[in-house]
Amino acid sequence: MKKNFGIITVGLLIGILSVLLVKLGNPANMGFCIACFIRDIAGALGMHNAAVVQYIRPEIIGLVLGSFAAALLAKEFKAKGGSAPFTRFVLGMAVMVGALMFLGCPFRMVLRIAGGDFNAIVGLVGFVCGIFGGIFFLNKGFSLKRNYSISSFEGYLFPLVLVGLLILAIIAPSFIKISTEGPGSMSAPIIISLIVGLFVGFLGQKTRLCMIGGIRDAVLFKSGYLLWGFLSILIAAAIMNFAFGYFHPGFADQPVAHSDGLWNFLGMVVVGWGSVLLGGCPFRQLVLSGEGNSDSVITIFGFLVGAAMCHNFALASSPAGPSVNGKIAVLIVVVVLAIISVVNSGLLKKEQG
Amino acid sequence: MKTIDTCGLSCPQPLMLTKQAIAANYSEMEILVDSQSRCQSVEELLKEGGYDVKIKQNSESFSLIATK
Repeated sequence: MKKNFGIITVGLLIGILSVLLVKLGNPANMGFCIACFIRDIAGALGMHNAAVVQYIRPEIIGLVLGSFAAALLAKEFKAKGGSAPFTRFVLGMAVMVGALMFLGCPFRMVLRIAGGDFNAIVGLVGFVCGIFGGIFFLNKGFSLKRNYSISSFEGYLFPLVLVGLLILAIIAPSFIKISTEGPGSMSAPIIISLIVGLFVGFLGQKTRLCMIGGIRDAVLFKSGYLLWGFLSILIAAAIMNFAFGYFHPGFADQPVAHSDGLWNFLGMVVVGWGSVLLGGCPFRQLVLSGEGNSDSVITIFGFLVGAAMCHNFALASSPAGPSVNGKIAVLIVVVVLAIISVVNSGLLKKEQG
Repeated sequence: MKTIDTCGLSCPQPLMLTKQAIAANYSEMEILVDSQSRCQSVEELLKEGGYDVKIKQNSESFSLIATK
Protein backbone atom coordinates (compact mmCIF):
# COMPACT_ATOMS: atom_id res chain seq x y z
CA MET A 1 0.00 0.00 0.00
CA LYS A 2 2.87 2.32 0.86
CA LYS A 3 4.29 2.22 -2.66
CA ASN A 4 0.83 3.02 -4.05
CA PHE A 5 0.41 6.08 -1.84
CA GLY A 6 1.92 8.40 -4.45
CA ILE A 7 -0.22 7.30 -7.36
CA ILE A 8 -3.39 7.28 -5.23
CA THR A 9 -2.73 10.87 -4.12
CA VAL A 10 -2.01 11.90 -7.71
CA GLY A 11 -5.12 10.11 -8.99
CA LEU A 12 -7.30 11.84 -6.41
CA LEU A 13 -5.79 15.23 -7.32
CA ILE A 14 -6.35 14.63 -11.04
CA GLY A 15 -9.95 13.57 -10.40
CA ILE A 16 -10.60 16.75 -8.41
CA LEU A 17 -8.92 19.00 -11.00
CA SER A 18 -10.85 17.35 -13.84
CA VAL A 19 -14.19 18.28 -12.30
CA LEU A 20 -12.94 21.77 -11.42
CA LEU A 21 -12.15 22.31 -15.12
CA VAL A 22 -15.81 21.52 -15.86
CA LYS A 23 -16.87 23.95 -13.13
CA LEU A 24 -14.69 26.59 -14.78
CA GLY A 25 -16.13 26.10 -18.24
CA ASN A 26 -15.09 22.82 -19.90
CA PRO A 27 -17.89 20.64 -21.36
CA ALA A 28 -19.62 18.28 -18.90
CA ASN A 29 -17.67 15.12 -17.97
CA MET A 30 -14.85 16.54 -20.10
CA GLY A 31 -12.42 18.07 -17.66
CA PHE A 32 -9.92 16.05 -19.62
CA CYS A 33 -10.36 14.06 -22.80
CA ILE A 34 -7.24 13.49 -24.82
CA ALA A 35 -9.18 12.34 -27.89
CA CYS A 36 -11.74 15.15 -27.78
CA PHE A 37 -9.11 17.80 -27.13
CA ILE A 38 -6.82 16.67 -29.95
CA ARG A 39 -9.92 16.60 -32.19
CA ASP A 40 -10.69 20.19 -31.10
CA ILE A 41 -7.12 21.21 -31.96
CA ALA A 42 -7.47 19.56 -35.40
CA GLY A 43 -10.59 21.69 -35.89
CA ALA A 44 -8.93 24.89 -34.68
CA LEU A 45 -6.14 24.33 -37.22
CA GLY A 46 -8.70 23.93 -39.99
CA MET A 47 -8.00 20.23 -40.52
CA HIS A 48 -11.75 19.57 -40.27
CA ASN A 49 -14.81 21.74 -40.56
CA ALA A 50 -17.02 20.55 -37.72
CA ALA A 51 -17.81 24.03 -36.40
CA VAL A 52 -18.81 22.87 -32.92
CA VAL A 53 -15.49 21.21 -32.05
CA GLN A 54 -12.75 23.73 -32.83
CA TYR A 55 -10.48 25.10 -30.10
CA ILE A 56 -6.79 24.93 -29.21
CA ARG A 57 -7.07 23.09 -25.90
CA PRO A 58 -4.30 24.35 -23.61
CA GLU A 59 -4.62 21.22 -21.48
CA ILE A 60 -2.93 19.17 -24.22
CA ILE A 61 -0.06 21.66 -24.48
CA GLY A 62 0.26 21.72 -20.69
CA LEU A 63 0.31 17.93 -20.37
CA VAL A 64 3.26 17.59 -22.74
CA LEU A 65 5.17 20.58 -21.35
CA GLY A 66 4.51 19.42 -17.76
CA SER A 67 5.89 15.99 -18.55
CA PHE A 68 8.82 17.62 -20.39
CA ALA A 69 9.65 19.69 -17.27
CA ALA A 70 9.37 16.69 -14.96
CA ALA A 71 11.58 14.58 -17.23
CA LEU A 72 14.23 17.32 -17.48
CA LEU A 73 14.27 17.89 -13.72
CA ALA A 74 14.58 14.15 -13.01
CA LYS A 75 17.22 13.77 -15.76
CA GLU A 76 14.88 11.26 -17.40
CA PHE A 77 14.53 13.17 -20.65
CA LYS A 78 15.93 10.99 -23.44
CA ALA A 79 15.29 11.53 -27.13
CA LYS A 80 14.35 8.17 -28.62
CA GLY A 81 12.61 6.93 -31.71
CA GLY A 82 12.49 4.42 -34.50
CA SER A 83 10.14 1.79 -33.10
CA ALA A 84 7.79 1.20 -36.04
CA PRO A 85 6.86 4.89 -36.45
CA PHE A 86 4.33 4.51 -39.25
CA THR A 87 2.64 1.51 -37.63
CA ARG A 88 2.25 3.70 -34.56
CA PHE A 89 0.81 6.51 -36.71
CA VAL A 90 -1.79 4.09 -38.10
CA LEU A 91 -2.53 2.78 -34.61
CA GLY A 92 -3.00 6.38 -33.48
CA MET A 93 -5.56 6.91 -36.24
CA ALA A 94 -7.26 3.62 -35.34
CA VAL A 95 -7.53 4.51 -31.64
CA MET A 96 -9.03 7.86 -32.59
CA VAL A 97 -11.71 6.21 -34.76
CA GLY A 98 -12.69 4.08 -31.74
CA ALA A 99 -12.56 6.98 -29.30
CA LEU A 100 -14.76 9.20 -31.47
CA MET A 101 -17.23 6.33 -31.91
CA PHE A 102 -17.53 6.17 -28.12
CA LEU A 103 -16.97 9.94 -27.67
CA GLY A 104 -14.02 9.88 -25.34
CA CYS A 105 -10.59 8.47 -24.60
CA PRO A 106 -10.07 6.18 -21.58
CA PHE A 107 -9.51 9.25 -19.39
CA ARG A 108 -12.90 10.70 -20.32
CA MET A 109 -14.46 7.25 -20.00
CA VAL A 110 -13.45 7.33 -16.32
CA LEU A 111 -14.80 10.89 -15.95
CA ARG A 112 -18.05 9.91 -17.67
CA ILE A 113 -18.52 6.98 -15.30
CA ALA A 114 -17.79 9.36 -12.41
CA GLY A 115 -20.56 11.63 -13.74
CA GLY A 116 -23.09 8.78 -13.68
CA ASP A 117 -23.01 8.08 -17.44
CA PHE A 118 -23.83 4.36 -17.59
CA ASN A 119 -22.99 4.28 -21.32
CA ALA A 120 -19.39 4.68 -20.23
CA ILE A 121 -19.69 1.52 -18.12
CA VAL A 122 -20.64 -0.28 -21.34
CA GLY A 123 -17.58 1.41 -22.85
CA LEU A 124 -15.47 0.15 -19.94
CA VAL A 125 -16.56 -3.43 -20.62
CA GLY A 126 -15.47 -3.00 -24.25
CA PHE A 127 -12.24 -1.34 -23.09
CA VAL A 128 -11.40 -4.31 -20.84
CA CYS A 129 -12.20 -6.75 -23.70
CA GLY A 130 -9.93 -4.73 -26.01
CA ILE A 131 -7.13 -4.83 -23.44
CA PHE A 132 -7.51 -8.62 -23.19
CA GLY A 133 -7.28 -8.76 -26.97
CA GLY A 134 -4.03 -6.79 -26.85
CA ILE A 135 -2.70 -8.97 -24.03
CA PHE A 136 -3.44 -12.08 -26.10
CA PHE A 137 -1.06 -10.80 -28.79
CA LEU A 138 1.52 -9.61 -26.23
CA ASN A 139 1.57 -13.19 -24.96
CA LYS A 140 2.08 -14.34 -28.56
CA GLY A 141 5.17 -12.14 -28.72
CA PHE A 142 3.69 -8.92 -30.13
CA SER A 143 6.34 -6.20 -30.36
CA LEU A 144 6.87 -3.06 -32.42
CA LYS A 145 10.60 -3.64 -31.80
CA ARG A 146 12.92 -1.35 -29.94
CA ASN A 147 13.56 2.36 -30.27
CA TYR A 148 17.00 3.98 -30.44
CA SER A 149 18.73 7.08 -29.12
CA ILE A 150 18.31 10.01 -31.48
CA SER A 151 19.49 13.61 -31.38
CA SER A 152 18.23 15.55 -28.36
CA PHE A 153 16.87 18.25 -30.65
CA GLU A 154 14.36 15.74 -32.05
CA GLY A 155 13.05 15.38 -28.51
CA TYR A 156 12.91 19.13 -27.87
CA LEU A 157 11.12 19.88 -31.12
CA PHE A 158 7.61 18.75 -30.17
CA PRO A 159 7.50 20.76 -26.91
CA LEU A 160 8.80 23.74 -28.95
CA VAL A 161 6.08 23.31 -31.57
CA LEU A 162 3.53 23.21 -28.76
CA VAL A 163 4.86 26.49 -27.37
CA GLY A 164 4.15 27.90 -30.82
CA LEU A 165 0.65 26.43 -30.68
CA LEU A 166 0.15 28.02 -27.26
CA ILE A 167 1.10 31.40 -28.70
CA LEU A 168 -1.51 30.87 -31.44
CA ALA A 169 -4.07 29.98 -28.75
CA ILE A 170 -3.31 33.18 -26.87
CA ILE A 171 -3.22 35.66 -29.77
CA ALA A 172 -5.99 33.80 -31.64
CA PRO A 173 -5.28 35.05 -35.18
CA SER A 174 -8.22 34.89 -37.59
CA PHE A 175 -6.97 31.73 -39.33
CA ILE A 176 -7.38 29.79 -36.08
CA LYS A 177 -10.97 28.58 -35.82
CA ILE A 178 -12.72 28.80 -32.48
CA SER A 179 -16.21 27.36 -31.99
CA THR A 180 -18.91 29.82 -31.04
CA GLU A 181 -21.33 27.06 -30.04
CA GLY A 182 -21.15 23.41 -28.98
CA PRO A 183 -18.45 21.68 -26.91
CA GLY A 184 -15.65 23.57 -28.68
CA SER A 185 -17.02 26.86 -27.33
CA MET A 186 -16.99 25.59 -23.76
CA SER A 187 -13.67 25.97 -22.01
CA ALA A 188 -12.03 26.98 -18.78
CA PRO A 189 -9.86 30.15 -19.05
CA ILE A 190 -6.69 29.47 -21.07
CA ILE A 191 -4.33 30.15 -18.18
CA ILE A 192 -6.20 27.76 -15.84
CA SER A 193 -6.39 25.02 -18.49
CA LEU A 194 -2.69 25.42 -19.15
CA ILE A 195 -1.66 25.35 -15.49
CA VAL A 196 -3.82 22.32 -14.72
CA GLY A 197 -2.42 20.60 -17.80
CA LEU A 198 1.16 21.38 -16.74
CA PHE A 199 0.52 20.07 -13.24
CA VAL A 200 -1.18 16.87 -14.42
CA GLY A 201 1.51 16.28 -17.05
CA PHE A 202 4.19 16.69 -14.40
CA LEU A 203 2.46 14.19 -12.11
CA GLY A 204 1.77 11.85 -15.02
CA GLN A 205 5.49 11.67 -15.76
CA LYS A 206 6.34 11.05 -12.11
CA THR A 207 3.80 8.26 -11.61
CA ARG A 208 3.72 6.68 -15.13
CA LEU A 209 -0.10 6.95 -14.90
CA CYS A 210 -1.74 5.04 -17.74
CA MET A 211 -5.37 4.11 -18.19
CA ILE A 212 -4.66 0.81 -19.96
CA GLY A 213 -1.61 0.05 -17.84
CA GLY A 214 -3.76 -0.47 -14.75
CA ILE A 215 -5.87 -3.27 -16.14
CA ARG A 216 -3.03 -4.68 -18.30
CA ASP A 217 -0.52 -4.95 -15.45
CA ALA A 218 -3.12 -6.31 -13.05
CA VAL A 219 -3.78 -9.14 -15.52
CA LEU A 220 -0.18 -9.79 -16.59
CA PHE A 221 1.77 -9.17 -13.40
CA LYS A 222 -0.87 -8.99 -10.66
CA SER A 223 0.43 -5.47 -10.08
CA GLY A 224 -2.19 -3.04 -8.81
CA TYR A 225 0.02 0.09 -8.99
CA LEU A 226 -1.43 1.74 -12.11
CA LEU A 227 -4.91 0.44 -11.39
CA TRP A 228 -4.89 2.52 -8.21
CA GLY A 229 -4.41 5.63 -10.35
CA PHE A 230 -7.39 4.70 -12.51
CA LEU A 231 -9.58 4.00 -9.47
CA SER A 232 -8.58 7.07 -7.49
CA ILE A 233 -9.37 9.41 -10.42
CA LEU A 234 -12.78 7.73 -10.64
CA ILE A 235 -13.49 8.05 -6.93
CA ALA A 236 -12.34 11.67 -6.58
CA ALA A 237 -14.20 12.79 -9.72
CA ALA A 238 -17.39 11.02 -8.57
CA ILE A 239 -17.24 12.73 -5.17
CA MET A 240 -16.63 16.11 -6.80
CA ASN A 241 -19.51 15.54 -9.23
CA PHE A 242 -21.79 14.77 -6.29
CA ALA A 243 -20.63 17.90 -4.51
CA PHE A 244 -21.27 20.16 -7.51
CA GLY A 245 -24.55 18.49 -8.45
CA TYR A 246 -23.09 17.13 -11.72
CA PHE A 247 -23.84 13.49 -10.94
CA HIS A 248 -26.78 12.34 -13.07
CA PRO A 249 -26.98 8.53 -13.16
CA GLY A 250 -28.55 6.91 -16.21
CA PHE A 251 -28.16 6.05 -19.88
CA ALA A 252 -30.26 8.76 -21.49
CA ASP A 253 -29.37 12.39 -22.15
CA GLN A 254 -25.78 12.17 -20.95
CA PRO A 255 -23.56 15.10 -21.94
CA VAL A 256 -21.56 14.68 -25.18
CA ALA A 257 -22.49 10.98 -25.31
CA HIS A 258 -24.87 8.60 -27.05
CA SER A 259 -26.57 5.50 -25.74
CA ASP A 260 -25.99 2.95 -28.52
CA GLY A 261 -24.53 0.18 -26.37
CA LEU A 262 -23.08 -2.02 -29.10
CA TRP A 263 -21.09 0.82 -30.65
CA ASN A 264 -19.99 2.29 -27.33
CA PHE A 265 -18.70 -1.20 -26.58
CA LEU A 266 -16.96 -1.71 -29.94
CA GLY A 267 -15.50 1.80 -29.97
CA MET A 268 -13.75 1.13 -26.67
CA VAL A 269 -12.67 -2.39 -27.74
CA VAL A 270 -10.69 -0.61 -30.46
CA VAL A 271 -9.30 1.96 -28.00
CA GLY A 272 -8.23 -0.71 -25.48
CA TRP A 273 -6.72 -3.04 -28.05
CA GLY A 274 -4.94 -0.30 -30.01
CA SER A 275 -3.61 1.30 -26.83
CA VAL A 276 -2.11 -1.98 -25.60
CA LEU A 277 -0.35 -2.37 -28.96
CA LEU A 278 0.98 1.20 -28.59
CA GLY A 279 2.21 0.46 -25.07
CA GLY A 280 0.08 3.16 -23.45
CA CYS A 281 -3.21 5.06 -23.54
CA PRO A 282 -3.51 8.45 -25.31
CA PHE A 283 -2.72 10.27 -22.06
CA ARG A 284 0.44 8.20 -21.64
CA GLN A 285 1.47 8.96 -25.24
CA LEU A 286 1.36 12.70 -24.42
CA VAL A 287 3.50 12.15 -21.33
CA LEU A 288 6.00 9.99 -23.26
CA SER A 289 6.22 12.64 -26.00
CA GLY A 290 7.33 15.10 -23.30
CA GLU A 291 10.04 12.66 -22.19
CA GLY A 292 11.54 12.81 -25.68
CA ASN A 293 9.85 9.79 -27.27
CA SER A 294 9.39 10.75 -30.91
CA ASP A 295 7.42 7.55 -31.65
CA SER A 296 4.80 8.90 -29.26
CA VAL A 297 4.89 12.22 -31.12
CA ILE A 298 4.17 10.32 -34.34
CA THR A 299 1.33 8.52 -32.53
CA ILE A 300 -0.12 11.89 -31.45
CA PHE A 301 -0.02 13.06 -35.08
CA GLY A 302 -1.87 9.83 -35.90
CA PHE A 303 -4.51 10.91 -33.36
CA LEU A 304 -4.62 14.38 -34.95
CA VAL A 305 -4.99 13.15 -38.53
CA GLY A 306 -7.38 10.41 -37.40
CA ALA A 307 -9.57 13.01 -35.67
CA ALA A 308 -9.65 15.21 -38.77
CA MET A 309 -10.55 12.17 -40.88
CA CYS A 310 -13.32 11.21 -38.44
CA HIS A 311 -15.04 14.55 -38.91
CA ASN A 312 -14.32 15.00 -42.62
CA PHE A 313 -15.70 11.53 -43.41
CA ALA A 314 -18.56 11.73 -40.86
CA LEU A 315 -17.17 8.84 -38.82
CA ALA A 316 -17.48 10.52 -35.41
CA SER A 317 -20.59 9.90 -33.34
CA SER A 318 -22.81 12.70 -32.13
CA PRO A 319 -25.19 12.78 -29.16
CA ALA A 320 -27.80 11.50 -31.67
CA GLY A 321 -25.77 8.29 -32.04
CA PRO A 322 -23.14 6.68 -34.23
CA SER A 323 -23.10 7.26 -37.99
CA VAL A 324 -23.21 4.50 -40.61
CA ASN A 325 -19.80 5.65 -41.85
CA GLY A 326 -18.49 5.44 -38.30
CA LYS A 327 -19.74 1.87 -37.88
CA ILE A 328 -18.06 0.81 -41.12
CA ALA A 329 -14.85 2.57 -40.04
CA VAL A 330 -14.80 0.80 -36.67
CA LEU A 331 -15.18 -2.58 -38.39
CA ILE A 332 -12.36 -1.73 -40.81
CA VAL A 333 -10.21 -0.64 -37.87
CA VAL A 334 -10.83 -3.98 -36.14
CA VAL A 335 -9.41 -5.70 -39.24
CA VAL A 336 -6.45 -3.28 -39.31
CA LEU A 337 -5.71 -3.97 -35.64
CA ALA A 338 -5.92 -7.71 -36.27
CA ILE A 339 -3.45 -7.47 -39.16
CA ILE A 340 -1.00 -5.30 -37.17
CA SER A 341 -1.33 -7.64 -34.18
CA VAL A 342 -0.73 -10.84 -36.15
CA VAL A 343 2.11 -9.51 -38.32
CA ASN A 344 4.04 -8.11 -35.35
CA SER A 345 3.63 -11.13 -33.09
CA GLY A 346 5.31 -14.47 -33.51
CA LEU A 347 2.30 -15.94 -35.32
CA LEU A 348 3.73 -15.58 -38.84
CA LYS A 349 7.25 -16.55 -37.86
CA LYS A 350 7.28 -19.79 -39.85
CA GLU A 351 6.44 -18.00 -43.07
CA GLN A 352 9.09 -15.38 -42.40
CA GLY A 353 11.70 -18.09 -41.82
CA MET B 1 25.16 -16.03 -17.91
CA LYS B 2 21.92 -15.32 -19.80
CA THR B 3 21.61 -11.69 -20.92
CA ILE B 4 18.20 -10.17 -21.70
CA ASP B 5 18.24 -6.76 -23.35
CA THR B 6 14.96 -4.89 -22.88
CA CYS B 7 16.26 -1.43 -23.83
CA GLY B 8 14.01 0.61 -26.09
CA LEU B 9 11.03 -1.73 -25.89
CA SER B 10 7.53 -0.40 -25.19
CA CYS B 11 5.62 -1.26 -22.04
CA PRO B 12 5.05 -3.93 -20.85
CA GLN B 13 7.62 -5.93 -22.82
CA PRO B 14 10.56 -5.41 -20.44
CA LEU B 15 8.48 -6.88 -17.62
CA MET B 16 7.16 -9.69 -19.84
CA LEU B 17 10.69 -10.71 -20.88
CA THR B 18 11.71 -10.64 -17.22
CA LYS B 19 8.72 -12.78 -16.30
CA GLN B 20 9.63 -15.29 -19.01
CA ALA B 21 13.23 -15.38 -17.82
CA ILE B 22 12.08 -16.05 -14.27
CA ALA B 23 9.85 -18.85 -15.56
CA ALA B 24 12.86 -20.32 -17.40
CA ASN B 25 14.52 -20.47 -13.96
CA TYR B 26 18.02 -19.29 -14.95
CA SER B 27 20.29 -19.43 -11.92
CA GLU B 28 22.13 -16.31 -13.05
CA MET B 29 21.03 -13.64 -15.53
CA GLU B 30 21.61 -10.06 -16.53
CA ILE B 31 18.68 -7.86 -17.52
CA LEU B 32 19.37 -4.56 -19.28
CA VAL B 33 16.78 -1.79 -18.88
CA ASP B 34 16.88 1.79 -20.13
CA SER B 35 15.26 3.83 -17.37
CA GLN B 36 15.25 4.26 -13.62
CA SER B 37 11.53 3.53 -13.27
CA ARG B 38 11.79 0.32 -15.30
CA CYS B 39 14.83 -0.64 -13.25
CA GLN B 40 12.63 -0.49 -10.15
CA SER B 41 9.76 -2.51 -11.57
CA VAL B 42 12.06 -5.19 -13.03
CA GLU B 43 13.91 -5.38 -9.70
CA GLU B 44 10.63 -5.90 -7.86
CA LEU B 45 9.60 -8.66 -10.24
CA LEU B 46 12.97 -10.41 -9.88
CA LYS B 47 12.82 -10.23 -6.09
CA GLU B 48 9.29 -11.66 -6.12
CA GLY B 49 10.74 -14.46 -8.27
CA GLY B 50 13.23 -15.24 -5.51
CA TYR B 51 16.35 -13.63 -7.01
CA ASP B 52 19.03 -11.53 -5.36
CA VAL B 53 19.53 -8.42 -7.47
CA LYS B 54 22.57 -6.21 -7.94
CA ILE B 55 22.19 -3.05 -10.04
CA LYS B 56 24.96 -1.48 -12.09
CA GLN B 57 24.51 1.81 -13.93
CA ASN B 58 25.95 1.91 -17.45
CA SER B 59 26.19 4.98 -19.67
CA GLU B 60 22.88 4.40 -21.50
CA SER B 61 21.25 1.66 -19.43
CA PHE B 62 21.07 -0.19 -16.15
CA SER B 63 22.20 -3.80 -15.66
CA LEU B 64 20.31 -5.90 -13.17
CA ILE B 65 22.36 -8.93 -12.22
CA ALA B 66 20.00 -11.52 -10.78
CA THR B 67 21.21 -14.65 -9.01
CA LYS B 68 19.63 -17.45 -7.03
